[in-house]
Amino acid sequence: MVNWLAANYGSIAIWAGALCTFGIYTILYKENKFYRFFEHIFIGVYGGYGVYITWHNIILPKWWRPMTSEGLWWWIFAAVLGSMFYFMYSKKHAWISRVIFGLFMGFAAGGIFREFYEGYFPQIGSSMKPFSGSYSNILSVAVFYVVLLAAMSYFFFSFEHKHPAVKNTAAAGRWFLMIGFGAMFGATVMGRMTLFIGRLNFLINRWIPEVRAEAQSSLFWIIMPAVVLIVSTIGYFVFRKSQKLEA
Amino acid sequence: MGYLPDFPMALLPVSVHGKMLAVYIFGALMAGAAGLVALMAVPPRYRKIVVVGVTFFGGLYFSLEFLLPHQPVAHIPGSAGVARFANSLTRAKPNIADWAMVIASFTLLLGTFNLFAIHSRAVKKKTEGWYNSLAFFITFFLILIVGILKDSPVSKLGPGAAKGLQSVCTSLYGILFDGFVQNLDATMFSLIAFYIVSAAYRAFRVRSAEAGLMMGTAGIIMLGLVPVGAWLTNWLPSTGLLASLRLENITYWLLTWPNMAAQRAIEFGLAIGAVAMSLRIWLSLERGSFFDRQL
Amino acid sequence: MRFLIRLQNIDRRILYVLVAIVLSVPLIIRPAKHPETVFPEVRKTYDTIDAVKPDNIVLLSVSWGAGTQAENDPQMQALMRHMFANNTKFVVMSWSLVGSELSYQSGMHVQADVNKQRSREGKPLLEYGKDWAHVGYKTGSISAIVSGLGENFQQVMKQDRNGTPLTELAATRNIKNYRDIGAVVDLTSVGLMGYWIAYLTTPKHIPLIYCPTAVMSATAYPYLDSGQLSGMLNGVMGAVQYETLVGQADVATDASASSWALSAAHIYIILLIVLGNLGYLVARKTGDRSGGSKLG
Repeated sequence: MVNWLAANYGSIAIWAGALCTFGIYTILYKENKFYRFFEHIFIGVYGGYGVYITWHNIILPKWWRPMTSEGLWWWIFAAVLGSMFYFMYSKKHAWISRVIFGLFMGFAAGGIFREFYEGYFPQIGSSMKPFSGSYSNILSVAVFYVVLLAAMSYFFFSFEHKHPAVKNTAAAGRWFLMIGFGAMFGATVMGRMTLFIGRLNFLINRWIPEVRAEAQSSLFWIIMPAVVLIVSTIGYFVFRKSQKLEA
Repeated sequence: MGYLPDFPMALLPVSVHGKMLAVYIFGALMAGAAGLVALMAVPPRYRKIVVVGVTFFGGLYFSLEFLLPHQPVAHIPGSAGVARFANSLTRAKPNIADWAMVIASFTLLLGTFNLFAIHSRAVKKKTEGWYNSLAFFITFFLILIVGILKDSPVSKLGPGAAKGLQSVCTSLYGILFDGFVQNLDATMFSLIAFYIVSAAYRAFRVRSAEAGLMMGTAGIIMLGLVPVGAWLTNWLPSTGLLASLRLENITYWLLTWPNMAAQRAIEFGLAIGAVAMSLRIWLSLERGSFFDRQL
Repeated sequence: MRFLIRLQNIDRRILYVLVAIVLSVPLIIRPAKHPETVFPEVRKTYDTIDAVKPDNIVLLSVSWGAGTQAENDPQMQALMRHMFANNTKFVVMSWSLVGSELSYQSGMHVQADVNKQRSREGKPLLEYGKDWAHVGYKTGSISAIVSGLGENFQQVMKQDRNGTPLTELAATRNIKNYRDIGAVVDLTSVGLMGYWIAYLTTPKHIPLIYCPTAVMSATAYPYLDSGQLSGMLNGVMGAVQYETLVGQADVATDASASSWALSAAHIYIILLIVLGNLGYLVARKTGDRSGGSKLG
C-alpha cells in the first residue's frame, strides 16, 4: 500500500485535479451543490495548508528553534505581542488588538517618505525629456508632454476648471487617459484568458494523457463507466432538484 | 546571534541554556502576561493615547531611519551622534524584519477562528449543506496533519514504521497540494475569463467617442501583443517608415509613449494621495470605523 | 438585422462552450513556433541577467500563487533556464503561501529538464543547494524584510525551505548583504514592485526586473522609462518572447501553445465586442429594447 501510493500519487493528484476543475466549472452552468462542496474543500485545504506552511517556514525556524535550542528566551515576547491580535474576539478588550495593528500600520505609514523619494523623484527626473534625436522621437516626446500635462490637469482639483484653457486641457486629459485605460483593458483580457488557457492546458496536456495511459488497463473500462454512471446520476438529481427549487 | 538592535542588547542577558532556559522563558511569559493584564486595566479614556502612541512609534522608526543623516555633517555639533543613531537604526533593520515576520505569523489562526465558528455551528445544527462544512474540517486538518508528519520523523514507531508513515504522508500531501490546493485555486481564478467573455458580448458598449477610443486602443493592444498581430501586418516591410504601421510596432509605441505618460500622470496623483493618507494614519488623524470607534 | 438583435439574447453558456473550443485547438496542436517579435524590455531583461557578476546571485521574489500560475510560472521557468545556462546562482523567496511550493516544484522541474541535456552533453549536472536555493515563505512587514535582507541576508533568511542553514549551502554561503545581489526579479500577481524600488533596488543601485501578470503590466511603463526597472516580462507573452531568446524558439512549450491560444482568444473577444455593438446599434436604431440588456 505504501509503495503503491508512493508510485501512484502523481496520477491520483492529476485525477483529483481534473475532478476539482470540473467540480468548480459546474457553476458556469448554474448554482449547484457540487460547486459548493468543492468550494468548501478549497477553503479547507487552503486554510490547513496556510497554517502548516506558516508553522514550517516561519514559526518553527525563526521563533521556536531559536528560543528552545539556541537559548534566545526573549523570543517568547513575540508570542505575547502576537497574542494581542486575538483580543479582537473579546468585546471588552478588543482595543488591545488595535495596539498591535497600529504598530504594523505605523510601520507601513512611516515608510512613505522613502517610498515617495525613491519611487517618484526618478520619475520626475525622467519626465524632463529633451526634444532631440530623430523626428519620430521628437514627435513621441511631444505626445508625451501633451498627454502627461493634460492628464495631470484632469487630476488637479485644487481649483475649479473654469478657465477655458484649463477646462479644455482637462477635457483632453480625459481623452488621453482613455488610451491608458484601453491599454490596461487589453492587457486585462490577455491576463484573464491566460488563466483559463492554463486550466485547459492542464486538462488537455496533463489529464488526457493520463486517461489514455490508464485506458490501457482493462480495470479502467470496468471502473470508469461505473464512476461516470454514478456521477451523472447524482448530477441529474442535484440539477433537477435545484431546477425545481428555482421553479 | 544579534537578534536585537545594538542599544538594548546591553540591557538584556545573552542566551541561556540548560534548565535555566525554561525558567527564563516562563519568567518572560509571566512578565508578558502581566503586561497584557496591565493593558486590560487601562481606563477607556487613556486607550486611544496608547494606540496613537504605538502607531506613531511604529512610523517613527522608518521615518527617522530615512530622514536622519547617516554621515556626520562638518561644523554641526552633535551631528556625529545623530549619524551614529541613524546608522544603528539601519543596522537594526534585520532584527525589525525578524520580529515583524514572527509577530505577523501569529495571525495564522485569526481568520481560521471565524471559519471554525461558522462551520462547527453548521455541523452541530445540521443546517442545509452541513456536509460541506464537515468537508471543510476534514480537509483542513488532513493537510495540516500530513504536512507536519511528513517533516517530522516519528522515531518512537521504529525506523521502518516511521519511514512508512513519512512516505504515506508525503504521498498524501502531494495529492492534497498538487491535486486539490493548486487546481482549486487556479480554477477559481480562471472563472473570471468566462465573465469577461460574457461581458464582452453584453456590456462593452461603445456609447461615446471616449469609449470608442478606449476600445480602439484595447483592440490594437490585444492584437499587437499576441503572435497573430504580427502575422496580420506581416506584409508590411520590417524596416523604414511603413514598418511603424506594423501592429506590434503601433502596440509598442502606444504602450511606451501615450500609455506611459497617462500612467505617470495617474501615478503622480496616487503618490500625493498616498503621502497624505500615510501621514493621516501615522499621526492617527484618519477618520473611519477603525479610527473613530470608542475604545 | 433582426438576426443581430435576436443574437443578443444568446445563452451565455453557448459563449462559454465556444471559447473552450476555440482555445482548445492551439493547445491540442501545441505549435512550437515562437513569436519573432521580441519587445525591447524583454531583451533588456535578458541583457540584465547576462550582466550579473559570477559571484553575485539573482534574487527571485515570488508573490504569485496557483491563481496566476499560467502567467507567472512560464516567466520564472524561462528565467531559470537562462540562469542555469549562465551558471548564475539564484535564490527564490516567496511572499505567497501556495507560490512557495509551486516555485520550488518549478525549479526542480527546470533543473531536471536542463540536467537531461547536460548529461547528454557530458556536462556537470545542476544541484539544488549548489546552483540555486529556495528560502521558502516569508510574511510580515514587507518593507522591513526587503530592507532587512539588504543589510543582513543570512539573518533574515536564516535557512532554506527544507530547514538547512544557508551557511551550509554553496549557493547561499557567501551572500552577506545587498552587495552580493546582482539583480532582483519580482514575479508577481499582487504588485510588490514599489517595495523593492523604495527599500532595495533604487537606493542600492541593483537592477530590478519586473514580471507581472498582464493585468498589471500597463502601469509599469513609467518605471521602465525612468530606469527604475531594468526589464519586464509582460505575462505569458513576455515569457514566450524570453523563451525565444534562451534558445527555445523551436521547442513546443506550454508558453508557446498559450501564445497561440491567446491569439485565438483575442480574436474571439474582439468578434464578440463587435457583434455585441452591432446588435446594440441596430436595436437602438429600430427602437427594439429586447437585446443586449441581460448580463450573466
